[in-house]
Amino acid sequence: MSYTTTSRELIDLLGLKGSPVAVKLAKTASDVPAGYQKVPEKSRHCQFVQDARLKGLKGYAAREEHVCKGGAGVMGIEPLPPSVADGSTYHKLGNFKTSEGALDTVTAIPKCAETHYASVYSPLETAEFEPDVVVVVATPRQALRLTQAYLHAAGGRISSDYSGIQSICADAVVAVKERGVPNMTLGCNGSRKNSGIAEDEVIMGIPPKNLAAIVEALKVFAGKWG
Amino acid sequence: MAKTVRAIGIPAPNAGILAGNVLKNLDNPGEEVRFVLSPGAEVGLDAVARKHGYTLEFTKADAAVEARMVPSGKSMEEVDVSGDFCPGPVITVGNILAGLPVGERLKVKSTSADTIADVAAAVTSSGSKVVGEGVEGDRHYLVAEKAEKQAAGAAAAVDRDRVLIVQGNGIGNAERAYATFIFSKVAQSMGRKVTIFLLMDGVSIAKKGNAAAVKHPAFDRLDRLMAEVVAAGATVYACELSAKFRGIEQADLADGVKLAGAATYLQLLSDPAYTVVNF
Amino acid sequence: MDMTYQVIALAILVSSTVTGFITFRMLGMKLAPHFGALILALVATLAAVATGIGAIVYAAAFLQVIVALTAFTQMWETLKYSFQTSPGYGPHLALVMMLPVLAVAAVAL
Repeated sequence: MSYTTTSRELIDLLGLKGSPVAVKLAKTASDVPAGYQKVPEKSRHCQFVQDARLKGLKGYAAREEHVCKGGAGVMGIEPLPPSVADGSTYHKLGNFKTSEGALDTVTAIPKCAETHYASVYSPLETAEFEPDVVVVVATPRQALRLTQAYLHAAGGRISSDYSGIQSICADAVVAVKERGVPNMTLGCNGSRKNSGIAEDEVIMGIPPKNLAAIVEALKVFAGKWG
Repeated sequence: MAKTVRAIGIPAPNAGILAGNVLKNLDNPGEEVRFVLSPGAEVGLDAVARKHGYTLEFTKADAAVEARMVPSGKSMEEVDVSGDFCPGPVITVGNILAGLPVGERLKVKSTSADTIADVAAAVTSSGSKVVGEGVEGDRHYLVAEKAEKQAAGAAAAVDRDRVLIVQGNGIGNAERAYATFIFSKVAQSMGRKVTIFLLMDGVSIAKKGNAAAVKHPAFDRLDRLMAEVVAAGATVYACELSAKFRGIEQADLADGVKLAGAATYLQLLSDPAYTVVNF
Repeated sequence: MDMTYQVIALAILVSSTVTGFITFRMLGMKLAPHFGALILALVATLAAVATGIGAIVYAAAFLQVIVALTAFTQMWETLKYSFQTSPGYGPHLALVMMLPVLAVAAVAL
């Protein structure tokens, strides 16, 4: 299904900087969309997302292309390194006072139940594949509108969970893919320092099937609230 | 197939909010959803379930609570095998389980606890799991969950510390009947755990009063030997079908003897920890 | 009274001591009443054939029936449940179950 129009509308209605990013986790090499090449340079998942968002990057990253093993690990592209999985990395980095606390957090980080060959990225408007998740880097106000648009159809509340580590990989992609529900996350040291997520930006992962309704709601809001 | 949502670390009420959103956004509305939560996070989940037309069941594993939401009306399949005797129940349950997708559950009910025990053996032997057991009114029940049968891993060294004695001869063949229990005593003295499976004529040994009539001049009365062996920890089963064949019911059996079905027998025979002997 | 029946009964009693011995070893049961009746019946039948005295014939006939009866009452449970093993008792039972009929014939005919 083509998301060209949807993506354009999101960008216009919200005033997004850059594009929403289509992310897919390919189970095998044959699952990678036809015509997609490996990303030109090794880097982190959050950087790939930013590059797709701001520079139009299209490509896929398998094990060798992922420099951040934590990110690759939670997406099932390779096993999580033991020092990450047991919490000691984050304990040493200073995130957690105790190693038990670190282990607790790492255990609860959303992780893919299955293994994957590679992660695939494209700006949403030119994506030739059905994404697992659409990642939107947004200002708080834009995230507010997205949330309101998501709740517009049936009401209720939305819950977001994060832990200040592995934000764009675990919280924005894996959690959303596994649960089928949007999640908002506030970035992490890695994504903010290395991938340029800005001071005034937050990240939302959205299931593709919710996008149509979200766009409709945004149009209603634009009509009513300006 | 049941959808699993891992939500460890998310406390109540957020877990409930997440659950509500998951239920609203399912790809297959008739799906069963399984939430894996931290203990305490399940508070309020029943209200969420009810609101969206689901029934909630809990199981607690060690560090997590599993909350299953099943669309109400489409509740877990149930089958009542009361009155049916071996091998009927095992075959009935086996057929239903074979047709279930992995992760789905089946509740098996019967007025006979022994039948349920036999069904449990059949369920685990086929690779599925027994996730609950209990009594409701006059029915004993178990809940089976379909799982993929795991292929046998590398053969681990198994301690063959158990002995299964199979006896198809009854009080009409005194020597074989005696051998069953004398051999049991020897095995027990060598530290082996003994299980005796009486089938065909063998069930006549198990009927109350019969063993008391068997006495060889050189040995103790057969029923006393049997009682000693049972008191020393042996399990004695009487084949349900053979008993039925001979008009023997559970109430007719001597103390310490249990009716068992074919699945139990098969499980014992297949267990590598058992040395099997036939007289 | 036709002594033929008693002669046949005697033949059966003698033959059944052997088949009975073989069969009895399968049972492992105390069959004292049966053996007692058997010995008495054997003696009485011998006497009946030898003397032909009516009273002794009656006594022998009566004891022959008792022999069959005592065996049955003690062995009933075994026979009832031993579907597989009972055929092993077949030869002995086949022969001795002729005794009651012969006993009646011996006194009635």
